[in-house]
Amino acid sequence: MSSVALKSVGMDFPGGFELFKNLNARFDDKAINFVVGRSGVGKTTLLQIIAGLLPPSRGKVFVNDINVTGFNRSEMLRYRKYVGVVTQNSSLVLDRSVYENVAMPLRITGMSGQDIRHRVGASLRVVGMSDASNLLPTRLSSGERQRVSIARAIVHRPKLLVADEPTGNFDRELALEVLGLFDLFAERDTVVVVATHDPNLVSHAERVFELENGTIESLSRKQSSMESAE
Amino acid sequence: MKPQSFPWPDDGREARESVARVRLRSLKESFEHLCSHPLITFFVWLLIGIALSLPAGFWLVQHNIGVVAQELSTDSGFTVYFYKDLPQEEVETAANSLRRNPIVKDVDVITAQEAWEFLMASDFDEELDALDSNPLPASLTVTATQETDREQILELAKWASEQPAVESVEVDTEWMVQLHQIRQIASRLTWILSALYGIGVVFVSVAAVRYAMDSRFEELRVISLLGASNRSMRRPFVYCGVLYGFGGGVVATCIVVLSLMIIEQPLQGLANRYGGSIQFLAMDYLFSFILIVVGSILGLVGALQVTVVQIRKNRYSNRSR
Repeated sequence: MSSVALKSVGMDFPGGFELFKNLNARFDDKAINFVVGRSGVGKTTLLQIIAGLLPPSRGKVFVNDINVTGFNRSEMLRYRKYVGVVTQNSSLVLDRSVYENVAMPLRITGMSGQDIRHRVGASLRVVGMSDASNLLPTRLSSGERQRVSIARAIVHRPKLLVADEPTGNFDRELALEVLGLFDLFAERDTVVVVATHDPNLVSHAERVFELENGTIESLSRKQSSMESAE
Repeated sequence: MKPQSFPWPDDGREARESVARVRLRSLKESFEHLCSHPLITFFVWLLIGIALSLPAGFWLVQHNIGVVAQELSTDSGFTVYFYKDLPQEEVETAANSLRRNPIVKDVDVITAQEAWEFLMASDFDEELDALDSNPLPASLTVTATQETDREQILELAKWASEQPAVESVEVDTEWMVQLHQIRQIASRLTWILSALYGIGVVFVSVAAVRYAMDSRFEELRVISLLGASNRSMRRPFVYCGVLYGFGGGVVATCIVVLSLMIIEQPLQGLANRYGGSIQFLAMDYLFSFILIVVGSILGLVGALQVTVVQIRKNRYSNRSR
């Protein structure tokens, strides 16, 4: 059982702007954790805090009951080796081949060339992009690019996967296909946190968290309490 | 039992390649990057090479001016003219007493007859035929040693002029002072120009490396997003920068060598006019090595500047909502 827990997390920006006041939430494995909210509410920042890319101004982030906000620089770099990130706009390097893009996280960890080839091949197969291995991202559609981005996020078998609007460029069918892929990871003890502003995507989701006015609330709990009140 | 301090047990992913292999691979990738963009690489090499060859060339010029001035200053001294029809023995006596002075390197005796023959060999032979007798006196050409300063030469010339057999003394130090002053001006000018070009070459190198790496800033942003350490982010860029600088250094060496080859002939002609003993400093292995090392360091500085600034920018842009 893996989990990520936010304890009284606050985030301030220069100029005194307080984005998060007091975030308290727990994201578990076995199912995708969706974070919803309107544009600009801080979904990306929240994912960056969870991924260790941005330190919170206040509060703590616990991963498997370990306080990762207290990590020093080298511990944080080690932590990031276990985290997969899918960004909003795929963030591929356009003059590098699909293979090279997917191999990047493995190169960062200093993996050997043979292991890299094996892992990249497997990842591209999972997202159905094996044939595009030698192509440049400029030759791909936006949907295909996002699939490559997902392959890159899962290539190092992350224990924590954060995805920022991963299906923004997909039609509903492809979006559900990708979410199915994330579900597979979640079932394999990976904590998956997906930020989206598409309410349709989460209409049947098990775990949904709403980010609003600097606070986060579990919609599932809110719905269940509304249902019990009725 | 030690409490767990990391969220996950090590599953082997932290086993790393040796640092040497990681660096070697990074260097290979950087080299491949340069090869895959030959035009940009050539342009950057040329830019850094030209910028670097200017201060290097000026330094060589400055050094060679010093060599020439020092070599020519050894020929300074004065000429002693005796009264007409003075017996040769008295001339020799004066020459010998001058030779005993420690600042005197050489005393050349020119008899009245030798001076007359020298004059007869010139283009004025028709005018000279009209003269009844040799109007020229005997003379001594006194050459001071290299270390002698002007004051010492003037003092010795004054002593020579006071000798009863001596009619006049002509001191040759004036042109030496002028040469020395010209040398000082040229030396300072070349230092100023070298320093200015030296500063310029740093900016040119940074700009050239920045231009060459512009297309890779997105890569830097993505790598930072994937959680790479600053050092591993910088590494391929730093290697690229060093390769650009190294190539620039090689180009600069070629430019200076070619320039020296072009001016070698007239320079040697000038040297021959002054006895042919001047050895000009040309490009040698050490100078080429220094030029290439300086080029590589400049490339390194350029790449570091570019990556540090870009990593800082990425950090701020990652903080967007």
